[in-house]
Amino acid sequence: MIQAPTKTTDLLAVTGLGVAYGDPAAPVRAVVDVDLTVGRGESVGIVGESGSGKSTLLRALLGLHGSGAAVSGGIAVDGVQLAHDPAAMRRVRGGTVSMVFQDPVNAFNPAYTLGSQLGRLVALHRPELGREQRRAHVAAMLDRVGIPAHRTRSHPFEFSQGQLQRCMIAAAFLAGRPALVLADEPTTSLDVTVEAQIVELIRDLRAELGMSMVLVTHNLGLVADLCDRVHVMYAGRFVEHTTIRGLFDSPAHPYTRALLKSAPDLDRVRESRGSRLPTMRGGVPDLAAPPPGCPFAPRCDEHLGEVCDRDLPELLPVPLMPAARTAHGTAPAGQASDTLPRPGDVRARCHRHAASALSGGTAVEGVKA
Amino acid sequence: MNAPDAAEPVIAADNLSVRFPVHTGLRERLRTGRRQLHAVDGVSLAVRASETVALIGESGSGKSTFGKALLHLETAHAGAIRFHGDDVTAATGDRLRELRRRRQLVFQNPYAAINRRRLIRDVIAEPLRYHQLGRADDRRARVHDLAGLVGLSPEHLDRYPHELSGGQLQRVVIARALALEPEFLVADEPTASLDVSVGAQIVNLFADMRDRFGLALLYISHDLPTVAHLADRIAVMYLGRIVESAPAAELVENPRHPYTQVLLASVPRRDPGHRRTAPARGEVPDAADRPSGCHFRTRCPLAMPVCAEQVPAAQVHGEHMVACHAAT
Repeated sequence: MIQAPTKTTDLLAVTGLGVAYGDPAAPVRAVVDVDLTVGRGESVGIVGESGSGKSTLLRALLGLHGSGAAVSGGIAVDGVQLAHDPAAMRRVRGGTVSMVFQDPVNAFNPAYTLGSQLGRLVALHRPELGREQRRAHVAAMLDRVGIPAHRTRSHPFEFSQGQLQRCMIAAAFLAGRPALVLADEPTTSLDVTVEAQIVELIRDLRAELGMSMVLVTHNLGLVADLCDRVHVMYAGRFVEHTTIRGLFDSPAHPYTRALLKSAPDLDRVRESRGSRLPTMRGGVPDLAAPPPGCPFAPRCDEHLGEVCDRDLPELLPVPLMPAARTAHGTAPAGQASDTLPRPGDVRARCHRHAASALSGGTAVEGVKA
Repeated sequence: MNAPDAAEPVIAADNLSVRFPVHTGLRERLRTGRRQLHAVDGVSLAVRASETVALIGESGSGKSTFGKALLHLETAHAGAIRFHGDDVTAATGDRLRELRRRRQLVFQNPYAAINRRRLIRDVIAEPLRYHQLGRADDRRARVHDLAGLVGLSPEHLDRYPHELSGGQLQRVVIARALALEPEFLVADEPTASLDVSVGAQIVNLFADMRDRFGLALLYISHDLPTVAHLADRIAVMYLGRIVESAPAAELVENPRHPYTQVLLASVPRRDPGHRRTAPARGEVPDAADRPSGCHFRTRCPLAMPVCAEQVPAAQVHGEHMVACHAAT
């Protein structure tokens, strides 16, 4: 197996990760052959619908996948291999790598005050602090996320969902000194005005402290708010990798295109009214018995015929669309240039691109043998 | 059925209020008296045949309670419900039973709305059985027709709910709601528990059914982009009151209430250059302890002294209603 060269500066390097559940003879392959790198200070999004394997992937990164799962492949943080070393995983978990969970209500112990739960985290990750310093640190953490310091004496049920999500963000970002925060749908259970507040808080904390982030979500808008680049996941595999501008301006995979079209766009209300929303037919494939070819082939509007049903396409670089090239050349002032796709940034798992890449003679890198 | 008149609303709420008692300790009750939670506070809204009215707002705004009150699933404390112009607020017995047949509800969570131990065919036939419509083989044929109508295949009918996906189950709930050929349908967050691509199918199905049967549809949601796509009119609710209502495109393009503006600014955009900032402070206050005057003033970027003293009156400009002291 030839792997794409991993730069030494990568904070997180995941190679060939697989997570399978159930009977080893006929496993449910929730995550298949995932490669993921995250550089220092970078924010990477993973987008997919229910059952795509995105949450399973995120949990497996910290060894939170449960005892029934078989994990294969490599997970390296700061060059240290964690995948089959529970002791190394425990040293990293919560410290170098922390996590924000989707449901803030169940993430806290209902029987203890917020102050005591956060205090215990601080004691674990900052053992040098004395009792009073620890208390002051907890108060400062809560203050930073907009919770009055006297609320340390409150129990979880006395907080709203939005406030508890702020407390969990305090725990993940501020209790230790994480280099990487994993966030699993951090705003899904919140109202939209509170979601906007949480987005602002996460953005400010990252700007201030510079940690990397992996954000898992089904919400394409959230990725635009918080990430530098994005992987699109379908049926356990990454099917596209692109920049944020690439995601919206020139999505490369037919699934990404269909996903974008099926949600109405507030900026194009007058055009879409009166018509029906474009939809994908059918549903996601059974992960215990996936189709032999491209997993999206049965629902694909851009199906090429036999090859899609027969062969699994590789994740290959996509030659940039003319539109994307134009966008790259005329970046609006103040726009971070790293959000614009460059050649090689965009990769897709689709036979259409495989055909055009070969005929166009584009260099094909990082191909699995 | 009454003579169809395009201008006559199928259903209308007239200053409708729903209150719930707040259970507090004895000491609290002795000090402040019995408190009441004003879930719905003087809401007027009408839905015509073939029309979709959307009700949007955050959790706790009272939008679901209002939808239930229109169906007599919550007791109206004040105000009136009119069905084809008749005051049906106090309907009971056979009259209420007939009204239940003509007004139906699609719930948010299809898993909770279906008896898991019954076959899909029995789930869909249940309202027909309850209202004693048709003989057994008529009902059987009707269930087949309904399944086809909502995009289920006949083999789904002999399965159990756990064998279907969330999107398929929501189709079952819609088929059950349509079984009695209702004139008015309340859809309460029908796509909230579904994936985006499946939600789009359900939104399309509602539009198809509305156009095909001339349904009056009240679509309750917090999802502004979907509502702006589907609905004819949008009413924005905050802590029990409608603060703004207008034709859908007009509301999105020319929002006049600060709360509507905040909601619109909070929606994520598909633009990497767009940096979402939080336009409103804090969260929705406790509905049992609402701020005086304009309920939104504690979070409003435009709040003035008058906002604490007076409830803003509804200003109507054509089809655009707004209740705000700052809007002119």
